[in-house]
Amino acid sequence: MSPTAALAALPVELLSLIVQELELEDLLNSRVVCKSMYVASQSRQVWSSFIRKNLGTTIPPPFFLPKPIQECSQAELESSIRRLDADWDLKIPLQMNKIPIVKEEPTTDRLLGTSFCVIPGGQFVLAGLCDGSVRTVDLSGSLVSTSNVPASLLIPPPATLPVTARAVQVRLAMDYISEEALGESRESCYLSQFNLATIVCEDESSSSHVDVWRIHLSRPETDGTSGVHVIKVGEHLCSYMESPTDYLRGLSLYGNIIAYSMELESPPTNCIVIVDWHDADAKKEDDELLRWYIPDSPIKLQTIHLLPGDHIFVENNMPLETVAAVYNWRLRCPTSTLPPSRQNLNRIPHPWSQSLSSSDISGFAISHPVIMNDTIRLVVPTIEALYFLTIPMDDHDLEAVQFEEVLATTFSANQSAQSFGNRRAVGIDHTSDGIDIFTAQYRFKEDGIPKKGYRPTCQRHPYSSDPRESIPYLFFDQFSNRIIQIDEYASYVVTLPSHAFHSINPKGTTETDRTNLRSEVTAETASESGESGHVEGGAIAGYEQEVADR
Amino acid sequence: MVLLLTSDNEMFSVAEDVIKRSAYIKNMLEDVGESDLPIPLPNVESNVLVKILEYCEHYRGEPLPASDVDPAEIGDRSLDIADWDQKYMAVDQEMLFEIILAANYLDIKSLLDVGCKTVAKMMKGKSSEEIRTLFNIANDFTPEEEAQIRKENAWAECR
Repeated sequence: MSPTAALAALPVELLSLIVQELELEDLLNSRVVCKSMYVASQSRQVWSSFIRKNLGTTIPPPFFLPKPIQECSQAELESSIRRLDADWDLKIPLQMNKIPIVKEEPTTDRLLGTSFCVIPGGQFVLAGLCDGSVRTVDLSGSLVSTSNVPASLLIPPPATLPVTARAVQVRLAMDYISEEALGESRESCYLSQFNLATIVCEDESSSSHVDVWRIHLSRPETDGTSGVHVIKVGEHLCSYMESPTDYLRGLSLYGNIIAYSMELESPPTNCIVIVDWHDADAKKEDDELLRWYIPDSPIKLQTIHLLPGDHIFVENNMPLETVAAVYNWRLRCPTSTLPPSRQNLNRIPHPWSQSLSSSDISGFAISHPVIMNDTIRLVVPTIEALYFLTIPMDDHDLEAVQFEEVLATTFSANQSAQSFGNRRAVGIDHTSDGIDIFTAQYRFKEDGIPKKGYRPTCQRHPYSSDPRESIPYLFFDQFSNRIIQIDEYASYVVTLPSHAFHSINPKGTTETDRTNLRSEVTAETASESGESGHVEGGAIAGYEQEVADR
Repeated sequence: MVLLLTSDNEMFSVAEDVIKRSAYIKNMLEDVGESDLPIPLPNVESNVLVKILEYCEHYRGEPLPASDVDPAEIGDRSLDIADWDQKYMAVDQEMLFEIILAANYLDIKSLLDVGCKTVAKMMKGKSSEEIRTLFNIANDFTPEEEAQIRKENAWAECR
């Protein structure tokens, strides 16, 4: 036998082939074994195949890197993967970075959560303002400067909207999940394009404008390394007129399907409309247009999420109970070519529903859906507990839907001030003593083996002693780890640094993260041993709410 | 029939459709054409070649994988190994690594993949110390280096 026939003596290329078969925990652990395995696990190839192999089985898609996968260094690939499972490391008290947003005119009417979206990557916030326009707030300079940021015009108000129109409702929905929207972004794990749906309506007497746009993100050629992107509107994919609505709440876009809720006082209408926007392009209000309906409902329909496989998740808020429901709309929902105000369809049963007695489901904060192992997953927070909703892709009759409690804990009653990703969440909550920040982590048991002793947790940290402080909308971007607050008048934006945030540029900054780790470990030890009060760095030791492993 | 000459000078006569699972031999046959001369395999000993031929024989007649597809890129994630392959791989460690080296040299992708998965499976869930013991690996890190790597590993892990 040749003397090379031992693990440690294999050529590094072969060791790399072996370690890339491991799960993250074992892969990192293999580094400690010996120098040749350390070198093997530092290979770029190991990490790019690790991502390709695990995307959709243990890595929730979409998964976005700071650059296309073929251009990422080993360090960028590794830190992006590790960021998915990074610990929360909020520095308490929070170092809030409040930046005024400069607009030509102040916003006088309150904007809804669905008037905003944060583009994955955390650099841009989109805001639909009361003049009917969509504006971009670029946060790329916000870490170094606290000066104003402009709300730059991305999409002007619809041309048919009267110039005098004020208090226009604009709702936004992004699709950065479907194949149709992402194009090459899926293959390269880099968000260079997505689709954006906008609904603009002036009042109950004038038609609503529904539009779908392709949005492009690019890195400027002169400054390709900084990680700063430029945003541009691309193709105007679709534009049509829908009937007027009194109040516009939910909007969702997935592939070639758009869904929105319509509320009318007269005639009393409260329904969800689902439309293939390919068919709808250029239609006028009175033109025939095939719509799927989730017809009249006595309740306010708050949140809708179009899901893969022709499914739709709907959250119904009633006075005494909240119902989460899932429909396979293409199979189960009635169709009509009449507009919402004139359709007269009967209510249909929920194919799958879950009553959450008196506990308000935090619909606004539901995670974006991911497809893992051929099932659709959503993270659904309620006031009393966190649930995982799992829908098998081919389950048209919704017989195998699972709604599983993961974390029994109190999340915020304020839906807008929390944001849930696939594995972590952050929120702000009023208590009788003031305001708390909560951070949560959780994961599906199918997502590979986590580190020993991993458990879903929710930790609370006192934030402000003034309970009257207003809590604006909160967004958590899990790709950049950025936490972003924006107020309901879009007058300021706040960015919160969180753990691994700096590792957007992993090379120069991992040292910071390591330092953070040290103080975090100290804090953990202090709270675990029952001590309270001050820990290193003068941070306030939060009270910890840990929930037993299940 | 194709003649193969191992490093310990043993001659093997193998059916062409069996050994074509090796992309290395397949390409050589295509380049050189029919020949009575044996193909020397200076990196493969006879006992290892016997084992390799057992694999090729078992999969005789099954379609060869497209040569330019890396199994890692197809998204075959699981460490699941077919029953027969598992039994085939139930050998001592020395032979296991000989098979991996030979599969790499002879460019038999599916066998290399099974070999790597077998080793990865042995490492799964084990501590670094357990892995060192299992594979008889000397720890060539200084305590400081080891501590540093553990720290790097920890910074973004979940607890």
